[in-house]
Amino acid sequence: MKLTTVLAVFVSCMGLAYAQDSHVLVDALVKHYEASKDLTLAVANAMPDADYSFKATDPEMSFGQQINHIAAANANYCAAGLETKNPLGKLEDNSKAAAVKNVNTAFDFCIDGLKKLTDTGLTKLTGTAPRQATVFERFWGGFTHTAHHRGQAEVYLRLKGITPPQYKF
Amino acid sequence: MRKLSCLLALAAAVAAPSFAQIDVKATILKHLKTSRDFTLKVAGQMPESDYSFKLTPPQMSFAEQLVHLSQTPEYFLSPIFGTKPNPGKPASMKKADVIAFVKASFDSAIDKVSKMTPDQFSKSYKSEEGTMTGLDLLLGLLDHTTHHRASAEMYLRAKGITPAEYQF
Repeated sequence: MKLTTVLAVFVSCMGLAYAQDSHVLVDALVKHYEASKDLTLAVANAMPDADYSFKATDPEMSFGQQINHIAAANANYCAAGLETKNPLGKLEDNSKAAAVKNVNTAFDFCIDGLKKLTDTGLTKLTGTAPRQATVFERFWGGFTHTAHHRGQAEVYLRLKGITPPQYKF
Repeated sequence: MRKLSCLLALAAAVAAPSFAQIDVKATILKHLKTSRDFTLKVAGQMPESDYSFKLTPPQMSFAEQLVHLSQTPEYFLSPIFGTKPNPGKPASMKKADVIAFVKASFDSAIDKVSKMTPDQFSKSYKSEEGTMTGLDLLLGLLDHTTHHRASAEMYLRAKGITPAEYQF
């Protein structure tokens, strides 16, 4: 019985240490955020400057607005997860140069922030009800939102006769 | 007193190691279910007569986008379960059959993920995309779905239909 107790305490300490120091989840998010940054920049760069104001139908965002929206939303999601200030202000310049710069700023902010976290940090609840979410969900939310708008931006490329860059994850 | 601390230690031992992983599994299931519901909304918005519509010739049609995003989860999940991918296909490319296929495919994926053990999240598997952990494969599944659903939403726009509000 005593041995079982000692073992239980030992396992308990191991378990806690593993959870506190582990970076398995963090590393997975960093890896996919880096791939997402590369693909988003490849899509942004594939559109010529002159077509940054192009939109497929009237109610939609222009290509430049889509790219800026990806940047702004990522900065927002990650700032909420990191409980810090969003590095991007209101984005009004929808030119290629500005949008590409904003994508770089936003993704670097997310990736640098992620690298400072541990897996346990990702399970923390942030925000106030009813919009509470774990840090993991904030980052994964930003990531998914990127795929949603980048998937649309790629169709704008198709409409301009440009084959979108190969999908990667 | 010592009995209490032992009990607490035991409780911690049971709760702590699996906490992070259980949380991730619940999170992924939640977003997979949202993804199913959102995809079904997008599928429902396109009229039957436009299921074969595509914006440019090299692209997949609206129906093909939906079938493709429904078949792919099987390829992401089969390495985890050591099975041969068996994605199936819809009875036809008509709207009702495609929607039934989308629903059945998502439900099958949800069922499989709900049966995953903590080990299967961290273990590495050989997949078509290279070596990936179970977690990577699940995140890839979700991302690939979002990617193609977004294209399908552009087809709705082209038909003058405002896509269903984005859900995550």
